Order: sequence, then C-alpha cells, then structure tokens
Amino acid sequence: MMVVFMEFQDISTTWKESKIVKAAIKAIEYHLPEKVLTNVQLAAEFPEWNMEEIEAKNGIMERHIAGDDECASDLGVIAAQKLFASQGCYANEIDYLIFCTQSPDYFLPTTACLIQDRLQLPTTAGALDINMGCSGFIYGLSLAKGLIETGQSRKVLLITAETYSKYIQPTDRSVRTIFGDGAAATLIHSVDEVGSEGQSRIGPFVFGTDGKGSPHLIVKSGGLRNGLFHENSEHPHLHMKGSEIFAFTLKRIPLCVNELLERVNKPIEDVDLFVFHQANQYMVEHLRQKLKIPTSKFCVALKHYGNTVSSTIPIALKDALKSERLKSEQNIMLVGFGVGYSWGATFIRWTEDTVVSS
Amino acid sequence: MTKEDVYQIVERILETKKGFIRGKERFDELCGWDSMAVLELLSGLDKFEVALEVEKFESCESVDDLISLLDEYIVA
Repeated sequence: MMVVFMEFQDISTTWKESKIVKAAIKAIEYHLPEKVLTNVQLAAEFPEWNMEEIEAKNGIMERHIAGDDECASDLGVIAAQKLFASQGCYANEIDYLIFCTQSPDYFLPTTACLIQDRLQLPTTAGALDINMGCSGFIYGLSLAKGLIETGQSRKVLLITAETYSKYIQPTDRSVRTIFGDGAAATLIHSVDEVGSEGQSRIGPFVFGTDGKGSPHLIVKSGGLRNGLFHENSEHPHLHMKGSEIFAFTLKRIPLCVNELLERVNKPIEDVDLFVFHQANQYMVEHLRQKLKIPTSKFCVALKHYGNTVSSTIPIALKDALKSERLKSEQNIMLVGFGVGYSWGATFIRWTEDTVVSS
Repeated sequence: MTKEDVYQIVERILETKKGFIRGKERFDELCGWDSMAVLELLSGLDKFEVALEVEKFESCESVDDLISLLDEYIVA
C-alpha cells in the first residue's frame, strides 16, 4: 500500500486576504537628441513658409532631430540609462523589454535584442519590438499589464523611440514642421495589492484599428511590399494626408473616450487629467473643446518637442510630474491615436511610490 | 446647419467679411485656401456635428459643390 502525503494550504486564509498582483507605472524618463530644428531655422531655409502662422496653428516652436548616425535605439538606450540612474530600478531587475518603434535599426534582428545587450539586461529577460506609432504607448502599457498581471513578469521596461525625421522629405512642410525625434523609457512594475478590491493602476483599455486609413500616414519604401530595392515607390518618404488624419480623429476619438468612461461607469468630470497623443495643437485643442475638457485638466506638451509619435504621452506625463501637475491618486486618462489607423485609451492611477526625479 | 452657416465657416477661414462667399467661388481660386483651410473646414463643420468625407470633398470645385455634398445636413 502506498501512502501519499499531501500538503494543504492553510484554508483559513480567506479570499479577501489573498494578494493580487497589479501592474503600475513606477518611473518615466525621456531623452531628446541634441540637435534642435527651430522655426527660425525653417523660416530661413524656406522663406515662403509662413512659420509664424504654422506655429500659431500647430503649437510647435522647435523639435529635436537625431544625428545622421543616431538611431531610435540610441535614444531609447539613453532614456533607459536615465531611468536606471534615477533609481527607478536597476538594469538587472528588468525581466521584460518592450521596444516600440517604427524606426528599427534593421529589419532583423529585433532591435530590442540589441538594446538588451547594450543595457546589459539579464539574458533571462524577454525582449521584443512592437511596430506601433502614435498609439504605441497605450499598446505597450497594455502588454506590460498583461505580462505582469498574469505572473509572467515583474518589471517591464517599455521604451518608445522614434526618428521620423529620417523618413521626411526636407521640403515637405506638412510633416517637417510637425514631427520631432525622441525616446521615453517607462518602468512598469508589479504591485501586490491585498484584497480583491485592489484598484487597477493601469486600465481598463479600449482599442481600435482601421486599416483603411493606412495610406494616409505611410512610408512605402524599404519594406517588402514593393520589393526591397524598388526605386520608384509612390511615397518613398513619409507621406501624411493631414485632412484624412483629422477627419479620423474627429470620428473615432470622442467615441473612444466615451467608451472608456462607460467601461468604468464614470462621468468625464471624474477624470483628473487628460493626456492625449500630442499630434499637433490644432487637432488636440479641437478634441478638448469637443469633449468639453477644461484646459486645467488637459496636458499640452508640444512646443519644444513636436510630435514624437509614441513618446508624446510619456513625455507629457513626465513633464506633468516635474511640474507637480500630476499628483498621487489622480485618475489620468491617456489616449493615443494615429498611424494605422490605430487608437487606444486607458486610465492610469498615479501612486505615491512613483519615482519623481529631475 | 444652414447654407449661410457653411458660407460663414468659409468666410472665417479666409478671414473675409460676412457676405463675401455666395456659393459660386471656386476653392482653387480663393486666396488663402490651402491644406490648413481644409482642416479648419473639418473643424468648423464638426462643431455642427457634420462629418465631412475628405475624399468626396476633394471632388468639390466650388462652395456650392460643398453645399450639395452636405445636402443631408442642410436645413432651409
């Protein structure tokens, strides 16, 4: 006869006392390239561009531009190093890296693998690229939350980085005046919440995709659709049809915001701060007015950065932190939208253990 | 939204006086009508909860063509 001894957990532990793992943003840092392209410089280069009028509409005075030998990964590495230096955490604590970019170093290998090596992250860490643009920070947060709250990871490093300047035709006013290069590094970590009532610090999420909009913000060269070495691509440089992009945001984003509010059963007045993707001032200001959001609750962080694609939201969050506009226990709505078309929105709740550093 | 509302949206975009736009004006002949003006048109119409389809608007040559395009939203 075989006797099997089984060890039972103490069943007096109630469900309410069991720990629940939640994901939370712990720290954010960002890095911008040293070279700055100002409106004064653009006006000198293109006297026919009315830069005063353009600035009045798009809200951008200057934007940072990566050097010839500077890739998005370089910017991302520096942003992450700033994060580690600010003691948000150490490199050897990261167990997952998500690198969000549409400006990879190579088609392959995965740029996140290169970054793992440069940052000396553990070789036991997972690392992947996601090819997302303006909605990338939202999607990256959703993945990080999933990894952490399913127990696959405890510390996720989300790097968003972009060098759209390298895709831009210098004479294309519509995009050259808007886009800037930059990177942000965000640490999302696991927090043990006691009790089932542990409030989500990230989430819920609303997502959306409409590939019919893909032709309106596109770089057709370089991929495989037209042949790798195809020279006569219709849009070899970054092509953006601003009117179509604007029409898309007017149609989709208010619905997205309201869907998220319905998900949490709260009125818009209960949101403490709104951080929208900083596409351009004209567009986001119109959305603010349309949604009747007071200016006191609406972040604008464009003037000195331009549209840094997936980094606009973390940069705006970091600036809000530094200026003490972002406070503990605030409910913050983040909304990303653009290239794809892709969009997403989520809530984050800021907590006291978030690192605030210079 | 009335036809006059649409005329006034275009007048505001062009920073001209009220009554300047009467319908026959061609967009390609209006001084100051550029890509930014189209964004402002989208914005102006959105305030009336009118969603302009950009691709259809591009086939409009005149302001009256725009009025025809927006027929379902126009009240007398």
